Amino acid sequence: MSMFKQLVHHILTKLQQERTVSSVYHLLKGKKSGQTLEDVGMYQLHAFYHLLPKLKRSVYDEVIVALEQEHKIQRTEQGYILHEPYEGHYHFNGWIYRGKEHLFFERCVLVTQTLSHVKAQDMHFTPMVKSITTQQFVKQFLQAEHYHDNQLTTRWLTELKQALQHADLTEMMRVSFVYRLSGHALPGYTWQQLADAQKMSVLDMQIIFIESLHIMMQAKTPLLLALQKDCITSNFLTVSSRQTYEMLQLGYTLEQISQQRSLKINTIQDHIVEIARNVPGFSLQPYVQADTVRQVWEAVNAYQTFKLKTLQEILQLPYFELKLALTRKGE
Amino acid sequence: MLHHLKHYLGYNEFRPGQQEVVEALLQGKDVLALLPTGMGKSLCYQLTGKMMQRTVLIISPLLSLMQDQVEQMKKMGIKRVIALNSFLTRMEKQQALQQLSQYEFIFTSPEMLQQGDVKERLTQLNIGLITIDEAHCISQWGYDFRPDYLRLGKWLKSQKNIPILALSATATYEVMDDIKKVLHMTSPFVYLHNMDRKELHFSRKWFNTTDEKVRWIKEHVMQTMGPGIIYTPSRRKTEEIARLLQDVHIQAAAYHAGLESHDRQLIQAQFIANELEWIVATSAFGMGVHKPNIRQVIHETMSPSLAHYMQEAGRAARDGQDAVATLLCAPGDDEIIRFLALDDLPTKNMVTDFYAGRQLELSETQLRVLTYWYSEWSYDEAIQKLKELITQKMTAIRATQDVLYTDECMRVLLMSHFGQSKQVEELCCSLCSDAVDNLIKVRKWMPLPQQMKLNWQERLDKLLN
Ligand SMILES: Nc1ncnc2c1ncn2[C@@H]1O[C@H](COP(=O)(O)OP(=O)(O)OP(=O)(O)O)[C@@H](O)[C@H]1O
Ligand SMILES: [Mg+2]
Ligand SMILES: [Zn+2]
Repeated sequence: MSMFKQLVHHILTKLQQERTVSSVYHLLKGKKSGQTLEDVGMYQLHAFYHLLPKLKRSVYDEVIVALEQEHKIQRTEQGYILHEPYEGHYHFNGWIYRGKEHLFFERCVLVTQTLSHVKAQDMHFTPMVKSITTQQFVKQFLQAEHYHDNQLTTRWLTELKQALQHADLTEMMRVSFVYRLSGHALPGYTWQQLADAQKMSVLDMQIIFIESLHIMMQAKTPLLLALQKDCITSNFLTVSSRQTYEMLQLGYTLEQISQQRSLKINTIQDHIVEIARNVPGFSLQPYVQADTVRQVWEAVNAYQTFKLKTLQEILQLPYFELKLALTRKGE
Repeated sequence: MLHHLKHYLGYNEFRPGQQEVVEALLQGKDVLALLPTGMGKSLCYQLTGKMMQRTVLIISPLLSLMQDQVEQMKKMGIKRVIALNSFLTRMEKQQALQQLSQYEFIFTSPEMLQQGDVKERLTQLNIGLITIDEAHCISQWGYDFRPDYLRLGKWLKSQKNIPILALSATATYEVMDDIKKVLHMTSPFVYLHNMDRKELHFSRKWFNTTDEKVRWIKEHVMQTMGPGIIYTPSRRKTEEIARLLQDVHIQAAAYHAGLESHDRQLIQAQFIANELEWIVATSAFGMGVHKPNIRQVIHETMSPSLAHYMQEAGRAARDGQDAVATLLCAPGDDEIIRFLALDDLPTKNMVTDFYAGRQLELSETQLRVLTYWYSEWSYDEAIQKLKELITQKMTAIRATQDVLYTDECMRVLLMSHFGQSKQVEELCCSLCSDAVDNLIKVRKWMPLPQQMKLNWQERLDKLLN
């Protein structure tokens, strides 16, 4: 069973038959449209956002056809019917890395290649990574860490080994990671070679690799952390909302924030709606009860509408609670 | 001279042509130098620049090539080198321009030279030499037409009194004339290498079908020794043949422009480290790859021009040991070659539509060519140009077909195409002597499947410990 097919199947299951099959494609590509971003929040799909920005439509369509032929799903005029749900277990974190895990890895490649050549006392080599920005970044990093003494190599090796011990990594992920690295007289493997070694497709290999990078990037040891610079997207909140979010995390209440920042309660409430949409796993509990959320969605289904005004008239709920409830579908 | 060579670059002696070229440049002459691939064209401007103690500007057509050259020079210990190209971000470019006077060698692309700020900055520098690498790209007769190279001529005209060095490995007489004209070279010193290399032997094989070629490749590779390159025009075929070879445990990989850059680097590195024995490639492979011990080059299909063919075949035997270039032929190849050669030319209808401002789908090259024509020529002139180009391409195709169908000698045809005469007699080509194929070494061992032998800790230790 292909890893990619499973992934698509998993996301289709999460979408609860409420979207078209294309929305999975847009999600994986990391489309910035309102619809896709809303899906991310509503069905809590942050993990999968922007995993495969280069995914070809034809490749995606093939998988949909395969899922249909296997009677897992069936396309309809409005969307699709899920005949058989599938829930996998993933460690992706696409929302915050957004493709930048590859930048992190390229830096790892260059650092390893350089240190391997230092060890071999042969500094004549062609860098495996061609991006000048990455080359300069790594150069500065290495100079700051005094790469000519062997200590850095030892530290780097130790950090890599430690990160590779992460329990969420499989043995296959570990071996693929280290075989993709190059060193002195030891070139790494191409995607095709890695995939052949594991008897899987190139796309599956790349997906697994992305997952391993997301797991390894949880490592917060100094060198690995330094190489993650600018690889994490944290500006999915407006500046003002981010301030509110930070204060919430420090334990301030809505009212306190409003007072301290001299902003209207309404404004702070809008911030919280934005936070609920964008911060994976942000809990709605303090602001709206689970029962209320359920009620709102029942009304949406019964009256076939998302119009705030109509819903408000039916349910007689504050707008804030309504809006919050509408940010979240899956849980 | 030798003393300078040793002092600046650490070499003990000149290779043929290098000294002549450098001396002419130092006398202030323009130079057109044709030296074989991998024989050290770069040295000509490196040494001249060092001896003049002035900035050298090198205009190079391919971004990847440019970076390879910069890296190679840094490896040699020449540190004040920079590549000014479209790989740079806006910030990087601004920074580079500001610090430009610090550099001894500045690589740039013809496209970059069209940009106002670059042009302006360059005129402020103390440039002592302008080098045009792969100068055959200038020629409208050449196989890789680049309008920006033509525009280059205008700019060069304004750079008075700076000697110009035009470098190429493969150029016919027509192309050489074009180069001189476009670059406004005044009575240049011309150095022509002898293209005939005695260590490179030619072989030709005919088949009834394309499938037979592929079957032959598989059998042949299993029985003989690499390292080698198999050239084929189609990406799909590179993968197909590579897969066939891997299935019989030959260490082979496909290489084409569709692979991501990192993968391409890895394949080159593996080939150079002898971890790969065969590369199955489109014409995207080769520029900037210096592997001395390539023993075989196989053309699954003839290249779209003899200039292409000689450059590809010429990657073999750089170490001076014997190597064989084998050309496979089958009925129908003519069509394929014609298609490849004319593929990137616009059609007459495209020219008409383009001039009429109609929307149309164009390849990158077609767009490049048409945009240039539009900016320089009237519609009638453009149609005339197109006719000329088609005639030229057809002539080039006919030259490749001569090699496909001759019953006499491949080498005579190849050399005469470049205006030279054949000098090598012994084991010249398979049409002159059956013994050519015996130069290919017989495989003595059976290859084993490639595996990841190390576990992850072991490989990490091997990399870093
Ligand atoms: N005089 C010399 N003595 C020893 N080695 C030399 C000499 N001149 C050049 N070389 C070496 O030959 C190799 C090829 O040189 P270079 O890259 O200049 O070739 P080229 O002619 O530009 O090839 P291409 O056609 O691939 O661009 C380099 O590794 C260079 O160091
Ligand atoms: Mg060169
Ligand atoms: Zn002959």
